[in-house]
Amino acid sequence: MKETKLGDFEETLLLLVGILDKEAYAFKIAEEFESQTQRAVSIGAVHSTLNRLSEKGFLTSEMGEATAERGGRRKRIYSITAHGERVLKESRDFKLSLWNQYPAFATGKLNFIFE
Amino acid sequence: MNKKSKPPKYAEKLLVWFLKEELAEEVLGDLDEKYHKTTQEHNTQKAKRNYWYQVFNYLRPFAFKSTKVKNSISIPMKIHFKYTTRIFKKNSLITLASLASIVLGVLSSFLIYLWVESELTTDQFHSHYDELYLPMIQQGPGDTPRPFDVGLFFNTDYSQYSEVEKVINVITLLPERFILEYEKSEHRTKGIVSDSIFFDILDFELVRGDEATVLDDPSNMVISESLAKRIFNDVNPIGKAIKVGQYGLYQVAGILKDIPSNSTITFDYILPKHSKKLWDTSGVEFILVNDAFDKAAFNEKIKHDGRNHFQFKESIISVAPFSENYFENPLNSPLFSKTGDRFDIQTMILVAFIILIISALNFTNMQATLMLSLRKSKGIKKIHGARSIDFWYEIFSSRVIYAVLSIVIIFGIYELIKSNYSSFLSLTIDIPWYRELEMIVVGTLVFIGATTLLTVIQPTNIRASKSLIEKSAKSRNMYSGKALTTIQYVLAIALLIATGVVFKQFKYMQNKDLGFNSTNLLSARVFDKVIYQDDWDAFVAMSNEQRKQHEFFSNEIDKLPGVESFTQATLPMSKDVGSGSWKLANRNAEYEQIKFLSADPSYAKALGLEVIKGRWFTDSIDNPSTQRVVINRAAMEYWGIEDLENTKIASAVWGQEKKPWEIIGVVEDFHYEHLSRKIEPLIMASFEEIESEFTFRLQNQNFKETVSQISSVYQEIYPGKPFSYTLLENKLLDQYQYEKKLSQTFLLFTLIALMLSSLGLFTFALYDTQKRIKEIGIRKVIGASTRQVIQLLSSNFIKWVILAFVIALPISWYAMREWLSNFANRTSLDWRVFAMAGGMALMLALITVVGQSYSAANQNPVKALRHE
Repeated sequence: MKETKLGDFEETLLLLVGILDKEAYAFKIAEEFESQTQRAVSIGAVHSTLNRLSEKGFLTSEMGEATAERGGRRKRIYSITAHGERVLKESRDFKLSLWNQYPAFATGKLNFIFE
Repeated sequence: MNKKSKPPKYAEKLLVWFLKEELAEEVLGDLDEKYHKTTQEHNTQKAKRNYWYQVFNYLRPFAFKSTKVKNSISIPMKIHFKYTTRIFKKNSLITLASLASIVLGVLSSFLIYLWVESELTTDQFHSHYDELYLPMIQQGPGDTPRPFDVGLFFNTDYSQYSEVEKVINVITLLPERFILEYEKSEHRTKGIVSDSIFFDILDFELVRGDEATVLDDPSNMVISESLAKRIFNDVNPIGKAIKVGQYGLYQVAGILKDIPSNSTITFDYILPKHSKKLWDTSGVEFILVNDAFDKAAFNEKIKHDGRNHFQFKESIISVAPFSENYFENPLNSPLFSKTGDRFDIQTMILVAFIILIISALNFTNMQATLMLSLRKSKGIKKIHGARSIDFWYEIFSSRVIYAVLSIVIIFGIYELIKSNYSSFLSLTIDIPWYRELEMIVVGTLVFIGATTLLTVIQPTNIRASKSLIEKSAKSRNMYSGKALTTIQYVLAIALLIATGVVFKQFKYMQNKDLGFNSTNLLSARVFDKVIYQDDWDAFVAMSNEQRKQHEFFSNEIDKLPGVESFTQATLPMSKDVGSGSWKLANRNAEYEQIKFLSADPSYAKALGLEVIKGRWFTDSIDNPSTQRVVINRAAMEYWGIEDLENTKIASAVWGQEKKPWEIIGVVEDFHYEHLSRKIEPLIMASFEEIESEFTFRLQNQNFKETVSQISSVYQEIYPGKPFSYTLLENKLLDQYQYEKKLSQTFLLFTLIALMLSSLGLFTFALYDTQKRIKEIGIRKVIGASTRQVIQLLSSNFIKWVILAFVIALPISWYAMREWLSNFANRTSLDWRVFAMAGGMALMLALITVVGQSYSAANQNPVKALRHE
């Protein structure tokens, strides 16, 4: 059976796929990642992770339309599967429960601003 | 957006080459988009770089094409490779020994090749190597020609000869005469003075500065990289001013790449010739000729150019080719600092050749042994329908593995030891690494190819049934294996004997009685020659001042109790021993070249020379103007002089027959030249030269104290200057550095050869005992003791080694007698050297074989009988 744990980078990418929706293909995801995190990443690294996420069953993909700036080549659009959404949700719940067990946070002494 | 800009083609090709086909479309599309975006936001350059970066980042397992084999031929190949690797693992000893043979054989010969190549291409890095000639002068019929500044002395105008393209003048500034000073640090090293077109004619490289113009400015100088490091450390030397002896300040304008080891011309700095009107020493000339040049015709044209000069009435001018300087016809000038010896090169090539043969035989032998042990599996394979081509594939795959492994190992070891090796032989290895790799690859492939041809002759035509039935190993192959091992041992023993003789000869040269006492002799240069620089009054004043200082120094040294005596003259073994044309006076004979050395009255005492007839020079009256000389015993015997009173000799240059010289004494022979030369007749005259080197004989006790006393006298003349000196004994040892290094190199390669032979014998013994394991078991069951079994097994091998020794003996005896005949002072061929070499080889063989036999004989016979 495939590993179903979610790494940090994997989680971020999964979320970005959700954010980008119809525009979620390797290049755009890499761009979005760079602009959101201010960290450089290569398309190959993103592609490799997307591939792994697909193998784990969190993502599914299909070929999209072609554009001129791609030299008439089609792109592969990724979308989150139900399984992927569940894993994301579990990951968030897990972290939230950790946060709630953190005494300073639970008593409101930590000064976070939530908008 | 620039529509025309496209992603780099090769990056794209690379990507398509390794990328899974089904991914190609999306990936190429993504990368294109990225590319165009980067072009827009930055520039094309950055976009291209980024594209490459992206492509390399696709080198990930998920993206690779599947490596499953498609073509049919590589599937059986794969099986062969698998099979070979298994064989290798199972017979790891033979594999390692075979590998060691290739590695040691190829690496040793490659190392030797590097040295030989460097020797043989000496000076050939000059592009005008073949077109350079040096004008020479022969002062009289009996004189040897030497390089001469013909243009300066005889105003020869080379521009009248159409075959001469360019002429340059090179003056050598000797380290003992000129000090380089920079901010209180002092350095002595050899330099030259030359014309501004120097770099057009001789191809020395500059790392900084422009070769065409750097010597144009008369205040410029060029220094070598290593000198720059010595003087300035890491500071940028360009523009700094260095004081060169009495010539004054020069500004560093160029840095010379260090001169390679295969250059006969050596120097550490260059001064432009036009910076002074007169240089106090004359140099040599290089003429660059064109295609129209004919040496004989040109010699005829310039032959008598010197005759107008009053000093050179009988002289003959000629030219000598620069290309013959290293080997055939060494030119006597301080500019050239080494001469080659083809004999040494041949010796080394021979050693390389022997090592190659030994290692090739070793490899062949071991592979044959391996084949033999695999006969059964071969038989079974044949029964199963293996074609002969399959066995070829098998051999091929094993050789490919050997080749790859040994190339990697050889290159690795070579890179590790390269710097040590090159500094040991002071060799400049200036080859790019891929050229080195290429040579190693070619060498290894040739080695493996040749040895494989040798191995391959037998195996495929063994009949399957025969190989399965035949149990005993008594086949022709076994016999030939032993013969090969014997040949290896013959070569190894011969090499060992040769090394023994070389070492004995070296030891002999080192310990030979020199004929003078070299202990406690200390020499130092105290005064530099005063140079005339267009100002007569200043010159006279400086000379007088120096004379006073000399007198003071001599008197003070005289007072020191620790100094037994001191002399100012040419020391034995120095390169300054010259020669002149002499003959017996009033005798009908031609003038001949006789060695000539300048001495002084205290020379004999300081060096401990033994006067056997007459007397030594006593005071300054015995000088060249009174025409008195002392000769050595060799000269006395050469001329057959019995009575000193009635015999006089004549010099071709000074006085000739009309004013012959008086012989006042004869000294016992002493070695005034390198020990590889015979003691030749020698004439000594007494000269008083202030700038000659001082040599002090010190008393054994208070040695250090006396040195510091001399040093303080020295500092009274040169306040603050350190007193530097050399010990004659060290200088003598230096003379034998070359021989020492050569014999050490020789020893190293001999040991390698011996090791290889032992390795061969070891594996051979191992396999042979394994084959006889049942026989050993039966013998032991019947009642043989371990000792008897060992004896039986060992004697089988030892007799071959003894045979090898018997064969090697006359060969090496003859070869070494020939080798020794190259030396004037040679050691004898001692039987002990031969015995020692034989003993050593036998010992090694015994250790190897007995060790093997012991473990075989000690086994439980039951186990041995159950074997297989």
